[in-house]
Amino acid sequence: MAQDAIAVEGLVYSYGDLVAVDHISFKVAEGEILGFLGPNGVGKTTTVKMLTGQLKPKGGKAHLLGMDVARDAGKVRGEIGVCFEQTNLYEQMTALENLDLFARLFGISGFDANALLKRVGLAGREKDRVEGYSKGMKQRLMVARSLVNRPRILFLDEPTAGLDPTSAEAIRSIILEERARGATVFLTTHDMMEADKLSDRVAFMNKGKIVALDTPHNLKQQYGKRALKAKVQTQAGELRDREVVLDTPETPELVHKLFAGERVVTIHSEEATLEDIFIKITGRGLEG
Amino acid sequence: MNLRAIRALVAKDFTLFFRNRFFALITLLGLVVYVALYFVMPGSVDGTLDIGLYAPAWSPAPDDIQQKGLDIHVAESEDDLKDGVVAHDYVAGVVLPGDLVEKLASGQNPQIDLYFASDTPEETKEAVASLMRELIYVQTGQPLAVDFSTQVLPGPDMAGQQIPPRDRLRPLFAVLLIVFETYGLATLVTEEIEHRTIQALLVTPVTVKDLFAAKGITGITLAFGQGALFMALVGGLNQQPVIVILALLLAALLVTGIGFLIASLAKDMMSVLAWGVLALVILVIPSMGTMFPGVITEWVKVIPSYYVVDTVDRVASYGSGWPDIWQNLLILLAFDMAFLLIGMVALRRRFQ
Amino acid sequence: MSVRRVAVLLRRELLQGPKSFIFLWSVVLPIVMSLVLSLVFGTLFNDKPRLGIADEDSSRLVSLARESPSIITREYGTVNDIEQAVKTGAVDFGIVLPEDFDRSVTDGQHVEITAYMWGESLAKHRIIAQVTLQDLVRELSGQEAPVSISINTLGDEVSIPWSDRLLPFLVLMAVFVGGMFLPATSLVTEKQKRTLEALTVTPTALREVFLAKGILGFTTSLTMGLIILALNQAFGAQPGLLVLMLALGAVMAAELGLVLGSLAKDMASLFATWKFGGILLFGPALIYLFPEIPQWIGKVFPTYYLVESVVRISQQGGGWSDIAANVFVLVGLDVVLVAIVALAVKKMRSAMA
Repeated sequence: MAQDAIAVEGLVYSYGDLVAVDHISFKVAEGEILGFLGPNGVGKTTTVKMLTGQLKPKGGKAHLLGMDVARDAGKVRGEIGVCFEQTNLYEQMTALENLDLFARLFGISGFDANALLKRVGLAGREKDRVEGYSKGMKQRLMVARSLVNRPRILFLDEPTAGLDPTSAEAIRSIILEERARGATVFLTTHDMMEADKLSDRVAFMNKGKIVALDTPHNLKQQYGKRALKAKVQTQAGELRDREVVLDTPETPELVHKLFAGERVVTIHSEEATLEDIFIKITGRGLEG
Repeated sequence: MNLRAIRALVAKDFTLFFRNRFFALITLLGLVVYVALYFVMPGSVDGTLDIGLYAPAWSPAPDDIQQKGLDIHVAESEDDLKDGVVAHDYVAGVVLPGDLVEKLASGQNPQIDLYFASDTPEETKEAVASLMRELIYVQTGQPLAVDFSTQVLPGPDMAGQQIPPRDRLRPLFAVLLIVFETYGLATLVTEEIEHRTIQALLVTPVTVKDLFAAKGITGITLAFGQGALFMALVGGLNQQPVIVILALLLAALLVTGIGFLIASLAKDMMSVLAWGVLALVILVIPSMGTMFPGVITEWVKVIPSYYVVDTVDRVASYGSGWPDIWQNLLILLAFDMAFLLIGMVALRRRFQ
Repeated sequence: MSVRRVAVLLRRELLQGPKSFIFLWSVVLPIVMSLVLSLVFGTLFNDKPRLGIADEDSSRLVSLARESPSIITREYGTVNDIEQAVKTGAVDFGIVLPEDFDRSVTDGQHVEITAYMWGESLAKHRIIAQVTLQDLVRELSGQEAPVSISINTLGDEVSIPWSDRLLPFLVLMAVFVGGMFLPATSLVTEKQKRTLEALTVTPTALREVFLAKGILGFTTSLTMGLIILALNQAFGAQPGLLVLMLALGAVMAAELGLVLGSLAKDMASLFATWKFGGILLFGPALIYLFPEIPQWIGKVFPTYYLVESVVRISQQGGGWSDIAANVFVLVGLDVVLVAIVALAVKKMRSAMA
């Protein structure tokens, strides 16, 4: 049986009296994309920091690729790539220099920085200093840097936040390419559509605990409702919204009544979103 | 420790250092200015009292009053003497009257005229007056009944070979150049914390130890490099170069530890400036001892830079050797280890 | 240019400024240095020989020595103390007065005095110390000098005590530390935190921001200069002229600070400039402290014209005619700096666009 890429058991972290991560447990299989969702301040970043060796857990265990994160931090870091939420590049250096530095730190010889930069869409700008890059370009470079060592596990913290659609899409493609390569991706995000699109499974975190962990489909099945959403025009000429819940015994009759009773302008079916599900489970939104 | 990673980090820091051309240029210019200042300062000590003399009726006078430390310039006329005084050719002009000998012989009090430039300090006027009075006492057969049995301390008499002002300043300049790099190192670390690049490094195989080693090497190289280059250019390595180089290296190690400590305390770059000024002022105090001998009291020995300054001064200016300064170097090494340890422990907490 | 907006920006600078370390530094440092240097270190620059006396009795020679203007006298308790003082160079010449020294001298007896000479003492100091001591012993013995000495002064120059030679250094520090570094650090901080961009997307023009910071620097600079002169009682007979010179210096300081702030990318660059610029600015003060340095070298430094004028007015009783040329040079330098600041504003504006 293939080992889990990430195995967390009863992980705890507290800042003084504040318990930021409260005995969480989960596993992520190799080659899986796990979306880690939750509003600000629920413990997502603290969890990531523990898994990447930046913080030592106060309790519990975490294993990455069979290695204890606390005991074998050095070995673990050789196998992971981390893309932080806030840019932390050497802005006085060029993109090439930034990547070369990290390649050397990983001990990679014969590293082709140009190829990686081309992959993230920065070809032609490799010799420019990072301080002159746009936000999207910097974020692409951040992603590129996290791929320097061809990591087996990739930690991405809000990789597409604030990006234009083109840049965001480019980064999503890279994430899928990495999965195809066999890498495991731990994706922290607020963007539920992105999590929905990319993740094999999603975990909802709230107040330091994991409150749900399953595939998006299963979560929607379990917690969501499908519905027909219609816009109808009243006698007075105003547009009103109507909703008919699907998959109930009354559905056919309700649909018939809708069409019979009112002039339907538009109609479409809709699934529950992950945000809807999150609100349902936790009572609060993803934006906090 | 990962030597490959350390090499990469040191290369990165030097790249960033020289990438900021303004910073690099200013650092270089600073060194040039210190060297220029050294050469502009007087290279010799004027240890003599220059006195102009017009004594038409007393030809043996110059031999009578000439002594070590006194330079007598004989003027052709009283007007020439006065011109010499105004032109600051000599500190004082002495006119011995033509009837001096006769008056002394007959028990009368002759008058000696002294001429001084108007900007001559009062104490110099009084001193020359005392000198003239004493001369006349001797001439009239009234030697002093007090004998001074004089011993030169601490060692050989350096009359005529005193340390010139610029050489007294040498340890100060070298220490200044090195100590200023406390800022350099503290900013190297603080910038990485402020820009969060330190996080990016610590999620790679780089360990905190590697980081310290790399920053330490960069800091030491910058500090030591400037100090050693300065001393080489101003002749500070002419005597016992190995000892001087070792002292400068230990000084560089010291400021590295202090730099780490400052980086651990500083919230941002402004704080670095604040702490750095404090460190600078304290570390420079012992240098006052070389500029103004006898000023510094024992308490200064608690300041680690004292051992650098004392070593460099004694070796470069007095030719001292290993037996005279080995204790200084040992104490300095102990301070280095202490500051490095404290600095690294404090900074490690900041990283975590 | 809107005066109202400049006033609003200046108000912000004045409210926020005192919270920064640089402000504290620029106010406290010159005052502390003034007090310390004047009270304590003023004596260090003294060129008088230093005599140490260890008196085993209560000789009148000690008080006579203290009154003598030719030497500095220090008393020590024991022979060991004197030896130590001579060894370290705290005194040039040290003597141990035996018991009954005064009576022996008065009685005309031969007395042997143990003396120590610092190996590095200057020959002229040795002579002066010895002849002064001899003179004092003769006075103690009641001998009358067989000659009268007439002291005549030639020329117009005034002797300046060493403690006064520190004044240029203190004035420069007072005027330039705050005047330069307040606007410089303020500008660099705004660049780094990007608050400058936030300002310039309002009707506020970049030159208004510069002007507000410049006024802050100028005000601090002028105020500190006046305080230092007051602390050292150095206004001289022409305080109005002094204020004019300080004002011109304050303008230079503020302008230099603005240029520095616009050029320096970050604090690290600012520090490097401080390291180097300190020497450039304070060079003229060193010229005054060490008159052996050829004075013409001072004219290379832009701050020379301020320092020289302050010295002329406050210490030499000079007037307008003595400093007119310096005024014109300073005005010229200030005008040139205005042009440079304007260029810096233009460059920064393009960089931000």
